[in-house]
Amino acid sequence: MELSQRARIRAGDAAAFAELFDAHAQAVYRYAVRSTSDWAAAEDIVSLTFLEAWRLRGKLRPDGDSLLPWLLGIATNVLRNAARAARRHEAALARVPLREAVPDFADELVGRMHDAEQLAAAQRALAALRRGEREVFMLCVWSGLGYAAAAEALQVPVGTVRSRLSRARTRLQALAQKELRTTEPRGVGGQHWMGHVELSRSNQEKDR
Amino acid sequence: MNAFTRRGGEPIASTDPALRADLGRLLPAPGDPELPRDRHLLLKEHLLREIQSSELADVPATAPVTAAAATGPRRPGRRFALSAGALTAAGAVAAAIVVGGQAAPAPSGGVSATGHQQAVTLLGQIAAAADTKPIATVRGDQFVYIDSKVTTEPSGPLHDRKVWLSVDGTRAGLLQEPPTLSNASLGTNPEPNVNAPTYDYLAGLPTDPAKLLDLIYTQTKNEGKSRGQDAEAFTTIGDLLRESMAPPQLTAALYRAAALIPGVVEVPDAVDATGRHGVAVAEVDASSGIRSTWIFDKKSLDYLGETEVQGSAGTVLFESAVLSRAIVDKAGQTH
Repeated sequence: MELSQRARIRAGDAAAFAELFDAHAQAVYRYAVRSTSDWAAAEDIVSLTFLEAWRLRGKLRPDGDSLLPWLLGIATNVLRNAARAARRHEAALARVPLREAVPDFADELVGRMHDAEQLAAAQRALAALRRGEREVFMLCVWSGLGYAAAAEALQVPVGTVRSRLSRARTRLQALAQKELRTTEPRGVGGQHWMGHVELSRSNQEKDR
Repeated sequence: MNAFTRRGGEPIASTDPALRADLGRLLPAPGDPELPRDRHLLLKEHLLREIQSSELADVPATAPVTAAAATGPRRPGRRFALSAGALTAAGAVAAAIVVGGQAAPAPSGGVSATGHQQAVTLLGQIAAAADTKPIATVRGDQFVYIDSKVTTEPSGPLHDRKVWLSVDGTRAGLLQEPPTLSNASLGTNPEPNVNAPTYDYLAGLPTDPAKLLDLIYTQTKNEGKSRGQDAEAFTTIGDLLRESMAPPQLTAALYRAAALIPGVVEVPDAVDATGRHGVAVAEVDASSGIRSTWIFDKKSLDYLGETEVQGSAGTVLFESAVLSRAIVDKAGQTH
C-alpha cells in the first residue's frame, strides 16, 4: 500500500497528494506549532511543506515505509529557512485562503493559550540545546519517530540521532539539576523542572 | 546507511523507550495543537489547486525556455510583495562580458551595451537625480502604493498589478493582480529584510553604498545557489527599485551600490513594457544568457521599469513598467 503510494507520489498523482495531506497534515502542523509557537505561521509551514513535497516528489526514495519521516524532514528544512521556502512558493502562499477571525473559536483559543504557556516553558529548555539536538528531540520525543525514521528525516546516520538524543538528555538533566538546586522541588511528575513557572500556571488552571 | 544499523556488534534499537521516556519527563508537555477541520480542508484544497496549476505550468517547460521561466511565475503575487533570487536558472556572474569594455551581444531590440564605465557614470547621474527629490512625510500607519503593468509568463500578456505595502509592516499589505489575484492579502511584515522590505526598514539602512552593498551580499548569501553574489545583488536591488519606496537618500544609495557591482553595463536606449524609451543599465548572466535591464526616463532619470530577456532569440521572461507610486492612508486607496 505504502509502496504504491510512493510510486504515485513520485509520479505526481494529485489524488496521492490528497491522501498524503489527509494522513499527515496534522503531524506536520503539530511539529510546526511546537517548533515555532506560532499557530498562524504553522499553517504556512504546513502549506510550504506540502508544496515542497510536490516540488521534490521526484527525489522521494521509491522504497520505504511511512512517508511521515520524509515529510517531517522537508518540514525541518522549511523551518530552518522559512523565508527562503516562502519566497520559493510566494505566489502559491499568497493564494492560501485567509483565516477568518470568528469568535466561535473561544474554546480553541483558551486551549491555545494554555498550550502556548506550556510550549514557552518547554522551549526555554530546548533553547539550551544545539539545533541538531533540538531537531532530534522534537522528531523522536514529540513527533514519535523512531531513530531510523528520524535519521531518514534529517538525512543523518542513525548513530548520530542516537548520540544527539543522548546529549540532549545529558544537557537537559544538567539544567534540571540546576533548576532543582535553586527551586524547591514541589511539582509532580515531569512538571517540576521549571517549578515556579509551572506551579503558578497550574493554579490559574484550577481557578478556571 | 546500513553501516550504522550495527555498532559494536549490537543492533541499535529502532527506539529506546527508556531514553525517550526520560527525555519526555525532562520537559513540560508541548501541548497538543490541532489543525482545525475547516483549515485542514481549506489548506488541502489549496494544495490541490496549486498542484493542478503547476501541472499546467509544467507543460511549456519542455519548450526552449529555461527552467527559470518554467518553475512558475517569478514575481507575481509575492506574499511579502517582493523578493529577489527566485530566479533559479542561472550561473556565473556577468563579469565576463565587460572584459575590455567590449559590447555585449545585443538583445531583441538591437540595443547595444557600452560597458561598465558608462554604467557607473549613468548610475551616478541617476543617483544624483534621486537625491534631489523632496523628502516626503511618511507615517508608519500609511501604505506605499505602487501601480504597474507586468508580464509574468514568457512573452505573456501585460496586465495590471497594484500593490499596497504597510510603511511599518504592522498592517496587512494588499495585492491586486487580476485575474489570478483580485484582492490578495499580503499579511503583515514583522521581519522586513532586503527581500521583503518596508519603507521604515529601508529608511534605516546605511546610505553608504559600499556598506549597503555589503548588507545586500550578506542577506542574499544563500539565495539563487548557482548564481554569483553579484547577480543576486543586482536582482535584489532591481526588486527594491521596482516595488518598494524608500527615502530619496536610500534610493540614491541603491543606485550607487548597483554601480559597485562588476558586470553592470549601460544600454543607451531601451524600451519598457509600455513602449516608453529610456536609458538603461543591464546585467547579463553569462551562463543562462538572461539579461536584466532597468530603464530610466532620459530627461528626469526617473525609474520606468525592468525587463528580463533571454538569449539571442530575445524571449521576454519578465517585464514591468511602474506607472505611479504614492503614499496613501489605506490599503486599496490609489491617492
